[in-house]
Amino acid sequence: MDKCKVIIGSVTESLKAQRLLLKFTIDSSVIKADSSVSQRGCTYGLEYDCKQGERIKRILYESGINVSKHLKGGNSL
Amino acid sequence: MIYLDNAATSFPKPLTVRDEMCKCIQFYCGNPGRSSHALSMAAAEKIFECRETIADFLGLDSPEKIIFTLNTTYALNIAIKGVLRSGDHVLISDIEHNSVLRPVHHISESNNIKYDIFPSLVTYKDRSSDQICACIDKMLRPNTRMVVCTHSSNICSAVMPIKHISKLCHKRNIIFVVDAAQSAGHMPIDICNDGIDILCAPGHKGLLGPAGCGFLAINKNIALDTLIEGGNGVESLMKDMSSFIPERYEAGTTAVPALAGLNEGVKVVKQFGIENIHQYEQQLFDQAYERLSSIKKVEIYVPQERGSVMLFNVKNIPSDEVCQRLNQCGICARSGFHCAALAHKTLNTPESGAVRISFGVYNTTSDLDNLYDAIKTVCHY
Repeated sequence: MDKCKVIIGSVTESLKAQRLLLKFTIDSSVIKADSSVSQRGCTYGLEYDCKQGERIKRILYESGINVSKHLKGGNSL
Repeated sequence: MIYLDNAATSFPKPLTVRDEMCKCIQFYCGNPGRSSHALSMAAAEKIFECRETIADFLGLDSPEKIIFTLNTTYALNIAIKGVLRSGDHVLISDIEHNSVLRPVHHISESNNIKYDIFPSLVTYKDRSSDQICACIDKMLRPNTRMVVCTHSSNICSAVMPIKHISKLCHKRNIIFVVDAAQSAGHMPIDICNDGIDILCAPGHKGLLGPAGCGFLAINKNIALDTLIEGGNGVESLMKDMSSFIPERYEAGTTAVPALAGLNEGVKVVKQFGIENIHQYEQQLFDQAYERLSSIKKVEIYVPQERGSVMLFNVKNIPSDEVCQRLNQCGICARSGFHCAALAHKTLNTPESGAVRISFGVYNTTSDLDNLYDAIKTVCHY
């Protein structure tokens, strides 16, 4: 399974996003992003199966959860 | 021991509160939102769960709008000092606790902010919401930015008509802040239906959690200034506090064991049922009133307002002395002014203040029988 990441911001916002995705039966894990990912410093996001990428983008966008980056492995999508 | 000081802090706490706090300290008490390791993540999960539990309990659909603090006082300071600016006017009621009066008074001294005190009419037997709102309406000014009001007094069981006050505030685009220190866990609160913009509450009173926790619930998009700045695990390279809610207002390490306990406390309150708790405490009030009012030397203040708090005095015996003697009989009550000088002035209590007894879910009729016997002894001493 290829893993992708979405960078969200705070751990609370990331947990909120995780709970939301679970309602759509999408599993994800809250992760602390690599320090180099954001110029602003420490940030959290979700790791998920890349196959769910498009669905996740749409769900988070429609729910108003801002995403700063989508990554595959360590690279921007 | 008979504990009748639940308005100060509830006692005892449910066993599940104690057990979860021990479990937290033993197994998962990392620092939430700081690291990527299992303990940090587990702590973060528990904190989020607590936000969800409280948000659901208060009728709020967004757990991130629950901002954790040390206590209600801290929450009120964030709300009051975070919103009010130079040139603003604020209204507070005449039964507010010092946790409202003092920060409002402090910023009025230094920041060109004016405040006025509106009458709660608690000593009027047939006071109505319309009368109270009419008083508020007369005192509103074009620059009134905020109304701060207690939901339920901490020295008597008077309840303020927050739904009506919120309607009045919203007509004028005024922010409505509610001090729910004595109502959260004692009577139903629905932030959305009640029209509350910011609710401040403790975790350690009616919600049956441990001391050291409280929260703000923000129901409106309000640009609150921060009271405290520091590390919060987000955007650490920036000099300003991050805009992410609630982390923006939660600088420093969160009290994870306390919040793990609070989560359980709120669940217990939900299991009891808030309406059941409210009715039960009113029954305890009625039973206490029946007993104490039969003692000639006892004066009970505002007896028409029934709830979890009763204020009384024993003629010719200072309140401190009454409480000392009650303590000797194994009864915990509180004397003096209860950090609410304004409220005591409104109720016209004497120089030594008064005795406050306050009920909780674990009090029984037998506690009140013992109180009655102890007061009779005090009177005949």
